[in-house]
Amino acid sequence: MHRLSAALVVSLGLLCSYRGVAHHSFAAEFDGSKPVRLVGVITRIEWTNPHSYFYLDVKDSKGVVSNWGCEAGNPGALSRRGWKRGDIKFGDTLIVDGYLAKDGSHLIDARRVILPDGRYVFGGSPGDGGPEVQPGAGAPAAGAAPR
Amino acid sequence: MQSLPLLCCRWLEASWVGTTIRESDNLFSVIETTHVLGIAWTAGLIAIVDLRLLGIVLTRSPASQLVRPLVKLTWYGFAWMFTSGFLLFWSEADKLYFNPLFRAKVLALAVLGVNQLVFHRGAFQHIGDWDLALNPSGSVRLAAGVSLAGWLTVIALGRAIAYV
Amino acid sequence: MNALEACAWLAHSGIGNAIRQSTWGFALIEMVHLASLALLGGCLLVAALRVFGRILPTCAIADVDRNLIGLATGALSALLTSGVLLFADGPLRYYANVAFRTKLLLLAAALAAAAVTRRLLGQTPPAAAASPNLKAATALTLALWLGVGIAGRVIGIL
Repeated sequence: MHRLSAALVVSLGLLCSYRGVAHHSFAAEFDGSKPVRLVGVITRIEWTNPHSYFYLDVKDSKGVVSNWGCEAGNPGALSRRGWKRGDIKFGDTLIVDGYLAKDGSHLIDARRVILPDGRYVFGGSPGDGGPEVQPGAGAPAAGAAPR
Repeated sequence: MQSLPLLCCRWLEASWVGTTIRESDNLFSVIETTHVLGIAWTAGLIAIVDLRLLGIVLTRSPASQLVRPLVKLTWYGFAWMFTSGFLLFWSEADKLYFNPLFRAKVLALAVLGVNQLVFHRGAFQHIGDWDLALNPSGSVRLAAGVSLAGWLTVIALGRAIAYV
Repeated sequence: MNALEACAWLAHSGIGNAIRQSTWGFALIEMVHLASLALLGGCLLVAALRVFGRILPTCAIADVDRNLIGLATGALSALLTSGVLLFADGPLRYYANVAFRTKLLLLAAALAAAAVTRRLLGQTPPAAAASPNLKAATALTLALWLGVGIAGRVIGIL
């Protein structure tokens, strides 16, 4: 039922090329026109309310490593989508699709996360909004600097 | 050398209580929901009292019949708002310490507290004199106006905290 | 045009785009929604407290409704208007949100219960206490409005 509603939201979102915003502050913080894919190694996990954060060391095409933050939903929301606290740990590699922070900082609003075991999970929630990003669609390479 | 308030905030956030609330699946959400909906009980009831004191609603009733019974009730409401608010603060004290809108909200609450105290020590003590008046004295209307504006400000700032 | 098509239309309308792209516009609409919630809540609680005999003993029960209906209607209008604008920020995702749908159902129920309660308030003779029916209707109305509020919060928590 849960996956069904998630799939529904994805299809509706893609159907309308919809750029939604998190109903608290997506528009205030993130740029819906700047999708990004990050591939990196987890250096820090904050499994917290009202938002979770995890930080990745991302290597760009030149081999330069920089640290990026990914903002995700609250622990309860993520748990209900099957993503439990212990599913990720330091040193794991994550692939995260999201949108860049407006202020140019190394922060993205994680929309979709590919866990080490290959599962896809939403970083936000159907009620929290934000666009649904297809893997790789319109996203610059990992670690690329924002335009 | 870090300031004492900042050190206290750091300690609160790192404590077992702060951490448990912050990392909870549902507890944070429950506390926050009661805090947000509690504004109806606290700010809402106080707003009706303020509007009576400004001569806008319930004008045919003696003001004391509204104010006196509501003193205790709104106190309970405020007690819960303070408790739930403090628990929310406890869970991210370190981060909120640096948030200017949070600081503004605390300041606004302090102003409201002083306003309330002045009213209760002053005009409220002889409420019998102006109980039926449509236009009570300036000090009463000032207190009511400050209260109304203050609570609206607190609500707005409370929402704005998440945006900074 | 069915509901889904209407949502899609609203999502791409001028107002939908404007709200979605604004930084503080959405926050401001939320603040109006919250302030109106507090005001409506205040009206409901004052009426309920009178029905249960806690305040305003010399004010006829029927008069409380008459006195507060203007304020309550204003607050409700502000809630509905700001609510529609919040909805316009992301019609499709709200459409898919279980808590949002629940909220709308509870809202319809709360409005119906309020109408019944108001009728019973108006029928109460001047010096009389509230009838058991009125007390029950008042309690039910309050409970439904509380449900609307809780469902509203759950939208963002899910």
